[in-house]
Amino acid sequence: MIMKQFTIHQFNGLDDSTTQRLHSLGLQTGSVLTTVRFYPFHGPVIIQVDQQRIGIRYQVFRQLIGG
Amino acid sequence: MTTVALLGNPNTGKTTLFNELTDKYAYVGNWTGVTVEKKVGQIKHSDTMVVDLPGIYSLNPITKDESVVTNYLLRSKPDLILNVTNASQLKRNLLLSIEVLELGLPVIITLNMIDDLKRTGHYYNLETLANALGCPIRTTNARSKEGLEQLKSELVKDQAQIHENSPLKLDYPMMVNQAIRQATNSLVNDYKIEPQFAHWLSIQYINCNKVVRKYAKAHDLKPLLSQRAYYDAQKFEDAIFETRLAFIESTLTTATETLESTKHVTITSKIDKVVTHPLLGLPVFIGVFFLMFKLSFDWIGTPLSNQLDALLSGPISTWANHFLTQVGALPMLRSLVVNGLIAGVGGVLVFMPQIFVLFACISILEDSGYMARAALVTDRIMELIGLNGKAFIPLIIGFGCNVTGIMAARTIEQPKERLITTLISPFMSCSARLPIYSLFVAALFPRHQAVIVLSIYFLGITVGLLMAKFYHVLFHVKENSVFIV
Repeated sequence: MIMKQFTIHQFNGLDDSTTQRLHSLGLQTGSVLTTVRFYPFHGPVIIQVDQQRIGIRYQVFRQLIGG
Repeated sequence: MTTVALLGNPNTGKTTLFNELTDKYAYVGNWTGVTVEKKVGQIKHSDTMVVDLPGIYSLNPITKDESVVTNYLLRSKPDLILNVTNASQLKRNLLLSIEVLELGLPVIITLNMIDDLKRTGHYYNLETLANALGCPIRTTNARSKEGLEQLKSELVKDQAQIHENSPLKLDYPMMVNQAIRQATNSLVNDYKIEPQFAHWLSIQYINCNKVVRKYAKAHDLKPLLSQRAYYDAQKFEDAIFETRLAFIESTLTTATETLESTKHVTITSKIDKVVTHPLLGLPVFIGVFFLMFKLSFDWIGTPLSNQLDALLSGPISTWANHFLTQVGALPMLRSLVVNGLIAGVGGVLVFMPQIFVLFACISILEDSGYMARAALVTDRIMELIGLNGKAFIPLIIGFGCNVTGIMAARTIEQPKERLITTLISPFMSCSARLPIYSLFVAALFPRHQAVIVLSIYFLGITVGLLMAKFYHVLFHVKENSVFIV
């Protein structure tokens, strides 16, 4: 799964602060993200968007890619 | 006297720039309501004052620190705002710049860390950027002092010489524009608020800015308060965000120039690969801490302590004893100085090397950015006790001193998580407890001292984590934590 590309489908289901922080990092619906690393036991996921690396929780990641 | 406010995203080199620009600065107390120090400096050979504001991603704050900036803009009117941006992360940096530019105060944007941008093979046409944003754009590299002289000369100006910036006007969707215009008009007519400020206030209010909403409530700005439900129902916040991002993207696309691309993998990204490795991360983390304790107890700290102890109890007390006998001091006074002062203060002083090394290690780790990686690596464990990886950093700093650790907990977004972190912080063994540990270890364990101290520390951590789980149940925490590093 490493270095795979995903598209952000939606921000629904995330709480407001998380959405706001992701927005202010420049993420929006339709942004393409590359997963850099998955931590075991559904730990955090490192994603890369616009040359910046961001660590998010696995649940947040699932929500973003619409799963 | 001119006041320049330094404002920008976190990690854009704001503080480095601040230190380079000013020759003396002072902490003038805390910002109201938070324990963030307010730092004001003076530019060399001038009477321009520079205010260093905490790093933020947007004017709508999530944490308490971030609210400092919005409150500052609401209440004070700096003569000039210097917006420091990270040149290679311009897209997200400009989201903040737009919010500032809409305020209509004179702004200079500086693209800091311009070297990093050139290394990626891109460059921006500064003129195109300046025209689109309506403010001067400069490039600097605070670390190599590039472009600083020019920037300084532009900041050292009398108030009269600073050109007024007209506020940036973005083309928001019609409904939003109409709402902004209506609110602005009634604010100007009924409340005698300056048009520019009213315009900014309306945009920020519509954009769900918590601080501005509180401000509107406190000042009873009816035109905004009465429309609140309408703004939120129409999702104007999303529309504003999309307009801004679209504006930034089109601006950056037209302004981007490609340089000859240079390819190289920096050493930092190699280190990054190891310390954030999913499986190796945790062992590396424990290893780093073991090394830290080894340094402070076995390799540097304890030998130094022993030497200091030998020096104090040997030559210094004998010398003081001789000196006092020679000058004919009372035996009582001599005993007070030799057995009381030198032995007493010395008893504490011998632990200084250990504490010093530990503190040095912690601050190096913090400044190198390892702490942010550690937060990532430890998030999964922290999640089990209902906290997030960010809570780890205050707890680690708690090893140096619980007080600073508790202060560092303010970066955690949720109030309840913050409370739990502060509550379990005292379980982390701070450096003041070190002398006691050292005493026990020295008295009871002749060998493997570093390992014993390490295990005492880990015992503290385990108890702390169990308590966190307990508090979690006690406080009925339900909300999910925001965890983005």
